[in-house]
Amino acid sequence: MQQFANPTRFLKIATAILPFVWGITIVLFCIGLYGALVTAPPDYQQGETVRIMFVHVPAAWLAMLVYSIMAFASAVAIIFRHPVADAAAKTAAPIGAIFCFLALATGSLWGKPMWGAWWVWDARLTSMFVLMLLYIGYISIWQSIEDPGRAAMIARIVALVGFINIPIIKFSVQWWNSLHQPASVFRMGGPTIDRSMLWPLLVMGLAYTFLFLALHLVSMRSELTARKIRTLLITRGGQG
Amino acid sequence: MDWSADHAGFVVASYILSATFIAGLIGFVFLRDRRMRETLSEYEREKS
Repeated sequence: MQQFANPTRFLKIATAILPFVWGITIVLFCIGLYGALVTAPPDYQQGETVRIMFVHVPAAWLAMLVYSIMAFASAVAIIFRHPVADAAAKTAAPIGAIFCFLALATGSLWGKPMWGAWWVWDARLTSMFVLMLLYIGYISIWQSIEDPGRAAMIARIVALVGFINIPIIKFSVQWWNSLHQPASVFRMGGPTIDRSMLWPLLVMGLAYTFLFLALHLVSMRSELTARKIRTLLITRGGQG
Repeated sequence: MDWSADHAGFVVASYILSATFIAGLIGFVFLRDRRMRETLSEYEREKS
């Protein structure tokens, strides 16, 4: 990990691997969407509505994964004073927030025909909504505090404290009575979904993961460039 | 996919919403990256 601590080295590696990451993302989306819309059969109970799963579930997975990455990066920033770690957490947040919004919105579009309601204050939905608020809070800290050092310190604490919500989201369907269905992919005893639906779901999950990786690398490049600009301006101000 | 099935509109809306927000996110990320790199090269040109 230490070899990525140097921003210049990180930028060089990121720029070199970006075309491959974008390429893999596009291929995975093509295969995943073909599986989701063409080869996957309709569900015996939900009919065609089940196809919402292929965009809803990966968005929810990524919303939780991205927040976990932010918490991990914040811990690395606190423990190792890693110069790139804060940038990693900061730039991941808006991407994770969009995934979280998409999980909530597509979930709502799935809930209406299946449950008869756009929204219910169910444990899983409420904990996902709390995750959305955590994302908004985290982004607001960076936007509203001018001193980057102070903003980073507060943001790290929010990311780490908010991480408590991730296992709550995961286990909410087991701990409380819920309208939301229990875990059917990552569970003890293996997936309960039929293979014909499982593979497009996993491919879409991978596509979303690679999309995040690609967007995150570009965002981190922008953030490190912004830091360079800030340093140049400070140097210029000092000379003037 | 049977486009005339019950609730097919909800499926279409989910995919369109996802595609729109993801495209918007990609656009935002790339525009910011381009703007930052242009600003940096401008400052470096001024400096030199």
